[in-house]
Amino acid sequence: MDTFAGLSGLHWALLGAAVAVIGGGAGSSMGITYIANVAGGILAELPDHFGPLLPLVVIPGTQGIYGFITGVLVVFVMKPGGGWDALSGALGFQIFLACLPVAFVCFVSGAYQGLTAAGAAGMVAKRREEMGRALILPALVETYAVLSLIVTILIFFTVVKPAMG
Amino acid sequence: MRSRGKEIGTLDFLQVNMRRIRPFHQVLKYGSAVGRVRALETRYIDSSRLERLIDADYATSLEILDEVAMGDYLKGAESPSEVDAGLARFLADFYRSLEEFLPSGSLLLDFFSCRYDFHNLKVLLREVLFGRDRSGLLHGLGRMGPDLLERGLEKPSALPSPYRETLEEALGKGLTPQEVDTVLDRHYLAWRLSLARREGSPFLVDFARASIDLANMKVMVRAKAMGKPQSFLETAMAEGGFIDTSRLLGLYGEAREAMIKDLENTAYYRGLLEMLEQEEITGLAEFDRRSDDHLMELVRGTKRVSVGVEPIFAFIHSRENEVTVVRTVLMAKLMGLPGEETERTLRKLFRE
Repeated sequence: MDTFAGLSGLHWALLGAAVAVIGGGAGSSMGITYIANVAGGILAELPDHFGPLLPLVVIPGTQGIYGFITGVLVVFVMKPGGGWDALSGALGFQIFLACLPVAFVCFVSGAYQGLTAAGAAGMVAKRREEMGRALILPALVETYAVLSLIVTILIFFTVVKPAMG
Repeated sequence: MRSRGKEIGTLDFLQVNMRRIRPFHQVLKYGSAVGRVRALETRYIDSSRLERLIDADYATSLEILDEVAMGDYLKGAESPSEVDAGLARFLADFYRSLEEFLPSGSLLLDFFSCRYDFHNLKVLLREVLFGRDRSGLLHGLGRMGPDLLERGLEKPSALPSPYRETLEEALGKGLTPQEVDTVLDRHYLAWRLSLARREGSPFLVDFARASIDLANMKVMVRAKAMGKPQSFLETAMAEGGFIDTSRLLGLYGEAREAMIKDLENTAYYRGLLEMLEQEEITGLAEFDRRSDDHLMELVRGTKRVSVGVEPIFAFIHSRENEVTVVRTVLMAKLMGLPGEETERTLRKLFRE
């Protein structure tokens, strides 16, 4: 079996998918926990603020989705025509490298987006009508998670996939 | 603490203060409480409301206070004692409400409430040792309560630490009233620092240490003005501040100008110690006011923190400060002092 640094192509690909899903999922879990905690406190005092707070609670969840998309792409789209056995160790390692932007950026941005959303929730608690503006702040953190997903997909389809032949 | 004159290196802005990075569980501990505080922060006294308060007559100022939480407690208050009682009731209810939503194991309330326990202990000790009256006792505030403290006066070992050690030291030596006060203040400041360390918040520790520095400097300035011997200072100063007590003790023999010059590179010079260069000390009220303003500046720095112990701390500190400000304004009105004079004595508000 063709290996790279002791691992087969399939192993590298699975490791990449796992790292992307874990990084994105962990970042989102942390981010949602931050903002959900704060939102819970606000709702205890102002129950009618559920509507304006919900988008803020949901927004750090997107990083987990990006990790999930990356994992699905690896498993279903990056599978070579000849089956996983046809994936060389070097190509598998390339898939692994392509997964890293999503894994790291989504982990960090998910957690920090939760903190930013928690700050924005304070704005909503004081002035309900500020909800639109408050949503922009955590949405700015989202930019980098989106960029990391774009880069991961670009590497998949412009570098790895053509090399598979 | 960074000295005032230190040049900032080119890469300083890239340095990460690892002490400030807190683990996930620690940030999360206060998440829900922060949310509740954010919702409750809406009715506060800002500078525009304060201006209206100062300009209004007494009856109108009570109406203005109806716009904020403490207004309900001041309805019908017509004398200084009624104002004090109303504000004490407000604070007691405020602390009770905090107790409901602060996480278990939080030492934040102890950090603030121990001030009232030490105050009550001071009043009771003055009564027992020097026959003073006990009208200054604050009921409903503090963790211990005056009754428990009173029982502790007969049997200090029945009290928990640090009140036990404080009483043992204050009752043991035949101290003067002023020395009793300094013993209690020293124990109070040391206890707050230990609570801050146990809470594990770098901000709280910094606040407690800055409070110790300010108290030590106040003791030093007062002792200097009264011509007290250095031995008095040794017993009165609390350990644990940013400025070592040995440095302050070493400065005590110097002239006041030299003393202040030496402390020029500390964070306390601008706005606080510099005033001592120009003014002869007639009372320490202005020093107290500026010390409180210095601490308020520290607390204002927490506005950047979205989740953690800091927003709760700022909320409690700003409410206590509002009570002090409202009390000052109302008392001045009851005494017929002009607004401009009142304004000069007011502390900085958390929100301008």
